[in-house]
Amino acid sequence: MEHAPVLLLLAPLAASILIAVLAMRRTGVAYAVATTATAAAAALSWALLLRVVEHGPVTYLVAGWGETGAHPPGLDLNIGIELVVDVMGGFVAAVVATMAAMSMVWSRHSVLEELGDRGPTFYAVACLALTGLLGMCVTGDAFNLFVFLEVASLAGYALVGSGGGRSQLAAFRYLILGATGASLYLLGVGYLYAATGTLNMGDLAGLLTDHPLTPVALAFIISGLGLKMGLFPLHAWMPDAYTCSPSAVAAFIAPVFTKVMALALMRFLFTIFGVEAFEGALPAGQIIAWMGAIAAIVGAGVAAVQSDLRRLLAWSSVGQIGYIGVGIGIGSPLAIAAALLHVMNHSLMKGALFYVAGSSRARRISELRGLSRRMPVTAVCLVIAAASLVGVPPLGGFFSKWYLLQAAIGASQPWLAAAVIGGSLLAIAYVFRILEAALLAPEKAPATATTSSGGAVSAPLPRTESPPSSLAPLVVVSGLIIVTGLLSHLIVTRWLLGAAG
Amino acid sequence: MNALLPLLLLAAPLAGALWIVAFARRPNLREAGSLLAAGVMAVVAGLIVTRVAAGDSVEVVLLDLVPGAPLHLRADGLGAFFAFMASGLWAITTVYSIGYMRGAREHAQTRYYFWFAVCLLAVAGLTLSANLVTFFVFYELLTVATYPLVVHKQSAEAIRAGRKYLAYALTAGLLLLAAIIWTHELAGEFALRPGGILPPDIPRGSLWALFGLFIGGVAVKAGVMPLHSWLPSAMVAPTPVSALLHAVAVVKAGVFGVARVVGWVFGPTLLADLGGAEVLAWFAASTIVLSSLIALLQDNLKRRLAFSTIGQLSYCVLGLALLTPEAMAGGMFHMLGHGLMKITLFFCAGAIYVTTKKTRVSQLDGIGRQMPYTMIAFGVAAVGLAGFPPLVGFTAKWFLLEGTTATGHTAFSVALVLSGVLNIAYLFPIVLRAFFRSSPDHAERADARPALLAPLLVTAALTIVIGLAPDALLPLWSLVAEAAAEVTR
Repeated sequence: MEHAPVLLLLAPLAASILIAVLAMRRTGVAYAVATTATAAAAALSWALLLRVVEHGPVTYLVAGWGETGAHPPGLDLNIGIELVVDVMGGFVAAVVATMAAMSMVWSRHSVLEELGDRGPTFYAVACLALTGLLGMCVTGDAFNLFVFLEVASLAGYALVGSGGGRSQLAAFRYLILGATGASLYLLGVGYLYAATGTLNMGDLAGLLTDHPLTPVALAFIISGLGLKMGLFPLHAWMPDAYTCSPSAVAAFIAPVFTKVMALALMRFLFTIFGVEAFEGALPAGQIIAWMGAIAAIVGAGVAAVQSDLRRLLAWSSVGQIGYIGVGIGIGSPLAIAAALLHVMNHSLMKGALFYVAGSSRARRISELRGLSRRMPVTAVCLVIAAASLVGVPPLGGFFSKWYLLQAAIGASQPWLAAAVIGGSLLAIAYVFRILEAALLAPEKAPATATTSSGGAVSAPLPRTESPPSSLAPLVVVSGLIIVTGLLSHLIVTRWLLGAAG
Repeated sequence: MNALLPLLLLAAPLAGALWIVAFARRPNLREAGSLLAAGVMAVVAGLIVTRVAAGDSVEVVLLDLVPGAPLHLRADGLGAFFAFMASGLWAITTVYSIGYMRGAREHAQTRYYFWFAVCLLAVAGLTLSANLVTFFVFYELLTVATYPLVVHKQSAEAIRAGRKYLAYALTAGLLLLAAIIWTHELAGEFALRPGGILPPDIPRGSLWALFGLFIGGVAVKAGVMPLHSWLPSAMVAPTPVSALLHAVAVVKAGVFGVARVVGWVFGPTLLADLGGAEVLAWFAASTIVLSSLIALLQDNLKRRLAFSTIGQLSYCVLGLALLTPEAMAGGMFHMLGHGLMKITLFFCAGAIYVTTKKTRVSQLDGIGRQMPYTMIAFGVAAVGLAGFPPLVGFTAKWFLLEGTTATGHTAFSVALVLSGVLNIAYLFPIVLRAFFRSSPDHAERADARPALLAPLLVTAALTIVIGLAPDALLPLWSLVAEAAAEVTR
C-alpha cells in the first residue's frame, strides 16, 4: 500500500508493454490484459483517494531519491521526483481510472469492428495514455508533469489517427495544436525554473509571490494547458478528434483527457501560484472564468445546430469544459468543489453518451430514430445521461450546476451565473434533438397491428440490444450518474470542499 | 404517525408506479394497482388535512440535498389542501382513464399509467415542500414526468407540442433555479415561511430582478400570458392527461408556486412595498380577458377549454396578487373550484370523443339527445365557471371581487365581470345547441360508457356540494382561509 502511488502508474504501463510484446496478434488477450490492468488501476486509485481523504496527502519519492539527496546550500529542496496524492489529484485520478476501465470493457466489439487487426495496438497505446494521465494526476514535479503530459498526448495522437482516412487528418491537427500547447507549457515551466531554481511543486508554491517572472510563467502555462484542455477558443482540435476517430477511441478519450488537463491547470492555479494567480499582475482567474463563460454559450450553441452525433457531443464538451473553467476561474473553495464535481459528472455523462453513440452505430442524429424500440436499455441510459446534461435533479449534472451557480452568485459574479444559465438553455436545445430522435419511430414506419389488450401498436422492430460487454459499462455509468447525484452533498462536503487546501 | 404521513403520501404513487411496470402484461392487475395507489394516496391526504386542521405538526426531514437544504416535507394548510385535491381527483381520473384508454384503444398504456403515477409523486412532493430546494426538485420532476404523457401519441404534432412544453418549462426551471440560489445568498436560508424570508434591506433593483426570475420560473406552469402557449398545444395529449394534469395538477402546481413566492418567500408586506404584486396583477387581469376572448374563437373543444383554463388560472393568480387575506384565500380556493369544474368539462370532452369521435364544437349540435347525462354535467360545470352561486365557482368570484373593490382596482373588477360574461358566451351555446338543436347523427340515445360517465357525474356533483358547503367533507375552505390569514399577518 505504501507503494500505491507508483503502482498506480506501473499497472497500465506494464500492461501496455506486455501487450506490445506478447499479444500484438491476439486481440482477445490484449483486451483481457488491458481491462485487468485498468481495473486494478481504478481499484488502487479509490484506495488511495479514501486514504488521502482520511489521513491527508500521501507523498512518495520515486526510487527513494531525495531522502538524503543533495540540497543546494541554504534551500531545503528535493532533487528527486516526488509523487503527491492529495484530494484534488486523487479524486480526478479515481474518476479517470474508473472511466478508463469502463471504456476498456465497452470497447470490445467496437475495436473488433472498426480496428480489426490493429486492436492490440489500440489497447497498448490506450494503456500508455492512461499511464500518462494518471501520472499527471499524482506527480509533484512540474517537469515530470510535462513528461506524463507528453506520454498521454502522443498516445492520444496515435489513438485518434488509428482509424485511417479522415482520422489521420484529425490526428495531425490534434498533434500540431497539442504540441503547441505542450511547448507553451514547457516554456512556462522553464520560466518557473529560472525564477526559483526548483521544479518541485511543493517548493515552488512558496517562492512565486511578487516575483517579476510569475505573470509570464502563468501566461504560458494557462495558454498551454488551456489548449490541452480545450477551453474556448483553444478548442479547435476537439471536434474533429472526437468525430473522426474510431468509436472506441472517442469513448476512451472524451471522458478523461480534457479532465486531467483541467486538473493540471487547477494544480498550477491553486497549489503552485495560489493567490498570485488571482490577485497578481495577471488576473488569470478572471481570464479563465470568462473564457469558460463564453465556451459554455458557444459550445452549446454550435452543438445545437449539428447533425452529426459525435460532432454534437464534441461541441457539447466544449461547453461543459467551459463550466469547469468558470469554476476554476472563480477560485473560491465552493467553485473549486463545483469544478471537480463537474469533472466527475461530465466524465460520466459524456462517457455514457459516447457509449450510446458507438453501440447504436448512429453517425447522424437521425440514425438514432427507433432507438427506444431497437435498444430499450440503451435508450433509457441515453435519457438518463441527457437529463443529467440538462440539469434535471436529482441527477449528477444538476448538482454541479447548482454549486457552480451558488459559487458565481456568492462571488458576486452575476454575469458568470447568467452565462452558465445561458449555456444550459442552449444545452436543452441539443439534448432535445437527441431525445426526440430516440423517441420517434424510424422514417419508414411499418404497418400497424393490434395487440390483445386493445391497444394499437406498430410491428415491433427487431430488438438488437448491445451485447453484455457493451451494455454493462453503459448501465453502470448511468447508474453512477444517479447515485453520484444523490450523494453529491456528501461528496462535496466531505471530500471536495477542502480539496485545494 | 404524523411523521409517516408525508412519506406515505409519496410512497403510494411510487409503489403504484412500480406495480404498474411490474404488471405491464396484465392490464386488469395493472389498472387495479393504479386505483389502489390513488385510493391510498387520497386517504392519506385526507388524514393529513384533518391533522393539519387540528393543528398537529405533520413533517419529516430526510437526507441533505445540498448544504443548508435537506429534503424536508411539511404539510401546512395550503399544501395539505392541494395534496388532497390532487390525490382525490387522481383517484377519479384513474377510473376515467381506464374507460378512455380502453375505449379509444390507445397504445402504450403501461407507459401512460406509469408516468401518470410519477406525476402524482411529483405533485405530492411539491405540495409538502418545506424549503425551496425540495420544491425545486419535485417541480422539475413534474416537468419531466409530464413530457411522456404530452407526447403519448408520438405523432409529429405531439412531439412538437412536447418540445414546446419542455422548452418553456425547462427554461422556467433554470430561472427558478437562479432565483432560489440568489434567495439563499440574500436571506441565508431556503426555508418557506409565511410572511416571507427576505430581509427588508435589499436594494429595490435586486428585488425586482429576483421577483422577475421567480415569477418567470412559476408563471409558465400557471399559464400567465405571454408564457401560456404551451398549454393549448399540449391538448394533443390524451384527454385524461388534459383533465388531470393540465386542468388540475401541473397548472395548479404553477399557481401553487406563485402562492409560495408571494406569501412564503417575499411576503405581502415586501411585495406591496415593492409594487411587484401590482405588476403581476396586471398580467393576470390581462390574461383573464384575453384568454376568454381567444376561447370564443376556438372550434376545437379541448383548445377552447385550454384557453378557458388559462383565464381561470389567472383568477387564482390575481387573487394572490391582491395581497388581502380574503382575495388570497379566494384565489387559493379557486384552485379546487376551477379544478373540479374544468375536470368535468374535460371528462365530457373525452367522453364525447370516445363515443362519437367528435372534437369540434360545431359538430355537437343535438348531442344532448344522444348523451344527456354527459351534457347535463357539462352544463353544470359551465354554470359554475360563469360564477353562479351556489356552485363552487362563486366563492372565488365573490372574494376576488371583494378584493378588487377593497383595493380600489376598478379595472380588475371590470375584467372579472367581463370574463364572467365571456365564460357564458363560450360555454353556454355548446350546451344550448346540444339540447335545443337536433341532428341526425345524434338521434339515438347512447351515452358514454359507465367508466367515463360515473367520474364526470361525480365531479359535477362535487361542484355543487362543495359550492354549497366548502367545509362539508373536509375543512378545505378553512385551511386556505387560515393559510391566507397566516401569510398576511
